[in-house]
Amino acid sequence: MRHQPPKLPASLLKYFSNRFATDDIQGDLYEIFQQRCSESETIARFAFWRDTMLALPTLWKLSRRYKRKYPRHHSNMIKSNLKLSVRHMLKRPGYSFTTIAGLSLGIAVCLLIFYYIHFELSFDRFHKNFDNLVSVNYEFITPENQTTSPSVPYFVGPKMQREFPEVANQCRILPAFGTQVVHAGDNVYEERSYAFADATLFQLFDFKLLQGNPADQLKRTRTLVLTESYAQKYFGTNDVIGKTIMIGTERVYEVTGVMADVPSNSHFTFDYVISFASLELPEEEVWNSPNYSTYLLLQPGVNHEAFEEKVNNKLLGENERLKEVHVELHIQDFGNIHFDTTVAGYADKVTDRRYIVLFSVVAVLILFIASINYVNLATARSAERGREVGIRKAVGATPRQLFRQFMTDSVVHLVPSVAIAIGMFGVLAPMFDSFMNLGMRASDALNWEVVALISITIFLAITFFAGFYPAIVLSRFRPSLVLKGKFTYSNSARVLRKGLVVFQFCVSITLIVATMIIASQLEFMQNAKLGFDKSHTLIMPLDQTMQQSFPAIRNELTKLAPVQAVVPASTPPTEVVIGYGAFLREGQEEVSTVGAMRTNADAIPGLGMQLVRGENFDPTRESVTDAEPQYIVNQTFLKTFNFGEDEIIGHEIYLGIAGGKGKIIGVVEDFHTASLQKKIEPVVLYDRGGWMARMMVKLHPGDVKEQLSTMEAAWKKLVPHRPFSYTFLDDNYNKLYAAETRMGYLLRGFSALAVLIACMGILGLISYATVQRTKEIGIRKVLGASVPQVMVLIGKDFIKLVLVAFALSVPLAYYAGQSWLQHFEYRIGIDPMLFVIAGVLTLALAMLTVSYQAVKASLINPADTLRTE
Amino acid sequence: MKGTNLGEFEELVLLVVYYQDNQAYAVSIKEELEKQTGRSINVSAIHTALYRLEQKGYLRSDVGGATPERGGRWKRFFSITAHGKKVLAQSQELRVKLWNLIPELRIA
Repeated sequence: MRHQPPKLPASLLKYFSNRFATDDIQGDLYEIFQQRCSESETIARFAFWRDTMLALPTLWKLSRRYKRKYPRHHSNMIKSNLKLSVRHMLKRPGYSFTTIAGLSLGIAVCLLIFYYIHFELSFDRFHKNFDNLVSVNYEFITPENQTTSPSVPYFVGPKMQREFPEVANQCRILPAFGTQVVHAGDNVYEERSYAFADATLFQLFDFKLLQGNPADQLKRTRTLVLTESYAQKYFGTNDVIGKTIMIGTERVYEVTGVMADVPSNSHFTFDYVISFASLELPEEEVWNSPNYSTYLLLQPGVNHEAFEEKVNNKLLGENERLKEVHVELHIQDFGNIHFDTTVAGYADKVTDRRYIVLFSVVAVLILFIASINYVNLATARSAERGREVGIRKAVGATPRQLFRQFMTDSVVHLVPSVAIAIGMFGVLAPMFDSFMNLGMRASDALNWEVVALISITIFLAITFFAGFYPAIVLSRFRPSLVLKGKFTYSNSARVLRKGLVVFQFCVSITLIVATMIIASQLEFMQNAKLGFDKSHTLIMPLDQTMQQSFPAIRNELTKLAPVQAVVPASTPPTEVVIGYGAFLREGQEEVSTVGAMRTNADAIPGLGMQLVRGENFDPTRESVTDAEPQYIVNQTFLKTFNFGEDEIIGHEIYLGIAGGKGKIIGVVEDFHTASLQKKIEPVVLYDRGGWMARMMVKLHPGDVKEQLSTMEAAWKKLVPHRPFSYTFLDDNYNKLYAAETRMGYLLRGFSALAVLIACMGILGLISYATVQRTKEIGIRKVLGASVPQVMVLIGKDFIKLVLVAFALSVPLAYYAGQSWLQHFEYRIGIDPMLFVIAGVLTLALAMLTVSYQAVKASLINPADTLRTE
Repeated sequence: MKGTNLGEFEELVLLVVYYQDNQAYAVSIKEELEKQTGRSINVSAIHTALYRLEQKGYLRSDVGGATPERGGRWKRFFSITAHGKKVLAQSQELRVKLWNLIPELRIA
């Protein structure tokens, strides 16, 4: 009579010993156990435990000693495993190709996405002082509104350094405002990307200085530092210390240094940087003009919140007026700057963290789908391997050895997949980069270490997660059943496979629906009525020199054939800043915040806006220098501030930027000043004071190229001191949706990919099922089944799965779509047709796949199949 | 006179091996010792002794005799070497000599 010793000590024994050295010891323990069992099993078990524990040291010692005699390296085993795996893979080129293709695509996409995510996450991290850098932001809180902007008055930086010991150093940066006209060498350029910075720039930030004395950069007035590419651009060499360039019409600047180009993963960038001293700002502490980005280098270990409180207490304490206008200072971690979408003014250098999460999820899903194909196909083909497994077990292979064999299979499939994926990645990366507008320049070489790291991770992940299941299933076959040829999958395996297919299609359909939703929303936004006409309109600069001769310029331009209207303004309608203080009623104590746009009588007709009440600005007033400003407000203004339509005309308000008191003479129909994500804010148009930095030129529809050359010729005569430059208002507007547009394209690509992979999966599975059922098909045909009937037979199951997937994906996609659309103030409703289209599309593709195989199957000659008996 | 590095327990084990004459393996030794001494002995102590004795060259071992009770594992049979016999003789000689020094315990 044989009893089983307790399992745990038994496994321990096995684990601690080397079979060759210590089998006898184990055997002795087993034998004693059996003997003891004849008296009392309980005691025997207890004693077995004790004996095991006591035996462990001996086992350990001995197995170590005998290791050399029976080495445990499996090099031969590995070689033979590899050979087998490769042979199997080559035996079925169709399946192998499907799997590898799917995997490569999935992995390549994953690589692209994770590379991108790595890029985004690496923003600004190349500065050594990263952990201790903060930015000082202005927070402006009114009952209606809260705005944060990264710009503070110019004296804040040095003041904070003087008065707070927590601040080790500071640097102010004034980013580009408008364009600069640069004369370098014999050429004139119009530059948009520049900055003014304190001499401490190189102390706080890690920008490499290539040429020039490190101690004398950006200290003196009228000096600047060029980036390397700009030194090349202007002078063709890096040896430019001491050379001069002229900016504007008269100021000459000396080049004191050349620095390496600003890397693309920096939230602020410039092509050249001018010393802050050149701004020649006064020393007083005036709290107007919050325009200067201010960065502080804090002492290590300073708590940012505590510091912020301290700063606000002290500074607001000193200055009552600040409290009145609800201004506070906010200390922002340097690392958050790239991800904080609430801070105004960084529109194109900031990414929402949510997109990063979203993209990683999609990447993982696609990888999942591709791996699922591998799993499904591998388990489906297990019948082929059944005989192999049976025989090997019969001659003594352990499940573990078989497991290793099948894991080698995974590796053999994955290695070429990963290799191909890396190749695809290398090819696609530049395209992806320009598409996503990442701005990774040629100088930022692909970071191959990152690529390698990601690839290895993916490789390991798939090998383990996708390879594990088939390997386990295959190694656990009962040889008896298999050798007899009787081999069915367990029910759980079948269900799992079906579930996986459903999952694949669910994801695909959801992606398709999501793509369509985004596309419709985008189309809606791009074609929406904005309240002004954005088509055929150029935006051109308007500087001080031009202001003086503006009436002449306008008249000449209007005379040109293509030109319909010329409208000067402080900003294009799409860039109106909401943040000007105004007092709207007698005795109002708290200031109200409004958007304001300086323009003239040409605006409303020229830009296609609608006046709904009152009158337009009086054009004859333009030449009058000393009059009060006149105001035109939009409809939201009335609603927000509770003015009735009848009482508003003639009402007097006070708008700081416009120079003060003035009467409202008209109401204009609401127009969008930002993307349709946002609500429309109250806006005031004014015709005095402020700066008009832009000139919008409305063209008649026509041949754009011709029109532009006509314009250029006229420009050269009228504005000789500036190069001819322009942007289109509709391009400007579309830039607001750059992120969504990109996402739309990406999702389009992803859904196509997902569907493709899912169909490949079905293809593989079906062809496999067909092979399995050849006999059945043969018999059916003999009994009179027609080709279509056979097709239905085979395809039925899979089509059912697709339908289930569709049913599941509808609520999912709907929910996802709705939550995304919530971000847009103005949005479309979700059209049920979208679901129908997505479903039909997927179904059609699936049926196509199915029918291809089904046709092949049903054309089998029964005579052939029934013969193999 | 040469010294032997033979512990008391080791000597007992060695003796039993000699006695069992090529049929000795851990379990049989354990049973014999338990029978003779009336104490229960842990088999691992015997393993340790056996392997040490083999290291010192007093025993040699061979494998064989797998049975189902042992889970199919073989037994390791130990037999005494010439050197082992010699060292036993030496040990006995030394003992007798010392015992004979005491008149009451004289062996002869």
